[in-house]
Amino acid sequence: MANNLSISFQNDMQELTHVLQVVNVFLEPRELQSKLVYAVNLILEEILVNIIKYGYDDEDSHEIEVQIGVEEEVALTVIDDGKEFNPLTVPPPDHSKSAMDRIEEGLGLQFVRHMRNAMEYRREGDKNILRIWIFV
Amino acid sequence: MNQALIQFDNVYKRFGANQVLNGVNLSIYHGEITTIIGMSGMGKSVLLKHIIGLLKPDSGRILYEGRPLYEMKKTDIDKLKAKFSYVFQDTALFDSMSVYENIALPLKEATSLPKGEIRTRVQDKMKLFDLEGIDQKYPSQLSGGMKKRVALARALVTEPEIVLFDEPTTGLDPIRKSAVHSMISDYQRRLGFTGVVISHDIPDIFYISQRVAMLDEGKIRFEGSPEEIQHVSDEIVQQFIQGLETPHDALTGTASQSQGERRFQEEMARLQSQQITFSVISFAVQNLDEVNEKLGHVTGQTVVKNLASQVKQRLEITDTCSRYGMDKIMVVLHNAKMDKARKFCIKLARELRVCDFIEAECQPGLNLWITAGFAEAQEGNPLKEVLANAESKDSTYFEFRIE
Repeated sequence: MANNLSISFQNDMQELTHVLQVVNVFLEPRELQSKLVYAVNLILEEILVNIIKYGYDDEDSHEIEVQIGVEEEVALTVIDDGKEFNPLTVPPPDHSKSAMDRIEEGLGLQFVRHMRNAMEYRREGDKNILRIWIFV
Repeated sequence: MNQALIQFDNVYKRFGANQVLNGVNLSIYHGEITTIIGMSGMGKSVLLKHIIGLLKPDSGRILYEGRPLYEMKKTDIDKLKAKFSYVFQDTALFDSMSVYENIALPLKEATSLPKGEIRTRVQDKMKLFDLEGIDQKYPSQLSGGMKKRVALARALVTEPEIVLFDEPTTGLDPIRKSAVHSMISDYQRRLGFTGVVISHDIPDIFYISQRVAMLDEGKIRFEGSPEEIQHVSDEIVQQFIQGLETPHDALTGTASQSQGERRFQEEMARLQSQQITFSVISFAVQNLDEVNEKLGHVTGQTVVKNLASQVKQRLEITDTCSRYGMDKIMVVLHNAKMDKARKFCIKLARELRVCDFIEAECQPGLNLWITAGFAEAQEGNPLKEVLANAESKDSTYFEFRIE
């Protein structure tokens, strides 16, 4: 069973459901904790929706690449050529604020931030490269 | 710069044949921590006592917001004194009074607050300084560290605008010393007071000060930022600082900040002469305020100490780990491109657990959020620039959370 999955798709909402299905087919036989699978789904959906909705000023087709590796941890990589955006700079939720005021950080990022994780963002040329490790 | 909150204008003070202050000019600004350093017996405490009016100058003026103290009416001086608080070198707690009574004293003496309100305020400060449950104990029953915290709680209970600290860490072990610094800095940020600190804790005290003044032979020999004093060419200032600096950082046992800087220079020289690449990593605990609030500043500083120790254990012998700022750890990786720094961070994120940081027991529900900025040094770049690059969220940004 391969430990790595790599998918490329176009910046189209229609393709998103398909991508998430492929990811789940890849993760399912590995018998990972359900919390972990949930986290991968939640954060992947959040990141990809964000890229497709806000990442591009033009109407052109752009390729988005998703890589998943499962070994001692789940390592998730998303590469896109959209506008420069580092989701890790979005401030973590301030619990003294009301629920409506703190939705600026997506639920996926909030959820993963409460697990043992590492995240890395870098801009290389015209690409955003976001890596997230969720430790099993 | 704005008008000074407190200004010494050519102040002289003599005790018998001993000319202690010999024309002191010094400015203390609102909302800043100003640290006064200098050899023992040079008059630092005398200087502090002039600020609060416990001593009067033989000549010269002390101005408060531009107004000379001696021109003020007694009622104005009394009002002004109510804004001050003083933490004495020897804590000066009253042995016949309980911890609660000691902390409540300034409120009972200087305010007409009802008993219930006094109780709330005292309990509030006791919680902040991790002193809960010892209300009825007497100073003689407390450890040195606890006495300091009681003294700090008493000094801050009136929420003063200006706090004077006379060697607030004397006699404490390194973690508690660092915890007191962390507390002062934390409360200064929260309450916004102006602090004047007399200290020998070099370089630790520089981490929390915005200004430093050195008193030498009755005069201010240097006045400027902590960064400026560390690079000043004046030999007497240099010798004084170097004489107090230990080769190892007292809290973490890693290299001191200046040793870390020297190591960076050596690596830079190798890069320039032999093209041997090196990288720098800057680690910081991002939610240290949360740790301080939930578990106290001693635990907070233990976390910083243990982060340094965990990082150091995983380094090669040619790498250096040093403290860089109050809560920051800097690593210089010899012969390393950025990818090696990156792999080092991933390894740490994979291996560390909260119980590697907090000695007593794992804290349920407590996450530590650590950021690691890394950068490969470029020829000729000064450390400041390499670190700024490493810490910039626009370049590679790495963070991890451990449970």
